[in-house]
Amino acid sequence: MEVDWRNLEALPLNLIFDKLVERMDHIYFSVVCKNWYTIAKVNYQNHQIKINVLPMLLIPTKRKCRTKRGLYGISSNTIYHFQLQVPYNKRFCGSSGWLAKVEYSKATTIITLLNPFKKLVSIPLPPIYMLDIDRRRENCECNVHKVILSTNPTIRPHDYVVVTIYSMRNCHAFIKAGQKNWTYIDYNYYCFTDVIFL
Amino acid sequence: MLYFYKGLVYVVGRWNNIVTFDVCYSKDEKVIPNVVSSWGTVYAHRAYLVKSLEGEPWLVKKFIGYPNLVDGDDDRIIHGSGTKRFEMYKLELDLQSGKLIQMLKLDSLGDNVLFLGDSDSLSLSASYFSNCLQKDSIYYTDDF
Repeated sequence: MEVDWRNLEALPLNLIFDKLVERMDHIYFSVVCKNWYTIAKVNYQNHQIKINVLPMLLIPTKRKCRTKRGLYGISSNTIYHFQLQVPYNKRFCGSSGWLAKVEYSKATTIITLLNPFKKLVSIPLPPIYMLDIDRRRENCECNVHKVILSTNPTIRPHDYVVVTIYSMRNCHAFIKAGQKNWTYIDYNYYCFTDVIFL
Repeated sequence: MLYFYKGLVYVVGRWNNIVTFDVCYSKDEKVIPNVVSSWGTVYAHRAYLVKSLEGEPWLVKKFIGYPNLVDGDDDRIIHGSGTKRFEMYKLELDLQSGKLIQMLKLDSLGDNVLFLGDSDSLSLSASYFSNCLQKDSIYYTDDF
């Protein structure tokens, strides 16, 4: 009997989707057809996805391309052919499925939130003020140690909060969606390495 | 403006220092955080905060090794010798006041497999991913 793969019922499609533990496989799943895409989308809107999927590793490409990075999957122990437009020579941190690009130029540090799977979407954050930056160092970008989001900005574009651990003192600051300035936590509290939202 | 997110942010440091602040009530440009745990005497190269599978906040400390320099040793170049060990603690917090009730040292990760690095700290189930993840393990960025 011919199977109409395109119009499979939601139940079997969800069973198939549940078996995929690599995010890349979710992408392959969702480009099969509109019906499969809808199933993938619904699953992604469900919070459960977070614990049922493996994180992937962003790695340099074989030829050390400056503008792209490759993806490594743990479950299959493979490097995917798929490459992302994520510059290899720039500083990035990640959180909630997004990347935070850190750039330093003209004595200003700017963090931009990017979603590597959505080429046209980027959220530039206001400049962050660093008291103790050592400008002689070339890698000033590395003075942003962590950028952690409270939630995925795609799902809650007006409700997310960004916390960063920054500067050589490892202080922290935060900003809410749409705000024009960072709120700095007192400089006398420092030497931090991680942040969590509870 | 109304924000959906209501809750506390916890920040952890290298000296067992933990502070918390509430992003909802800040109006000033500068915020004084509440101290949950003050500076201790033991230094960890990195400290991570991760939500366990049961939703409990865990503190994970990463210690790195230093070479033992013996007197008269010719090789004086000091290099860290990489990640040596981890310590895990369960934090019991009073989320109303934000205060720390106690910190329990853990001997095992249970079903948790941890991912620690420059991004979100993450815990996944070892039994769910038994085909691809190693039980009772921490996957980390060896950033030293």
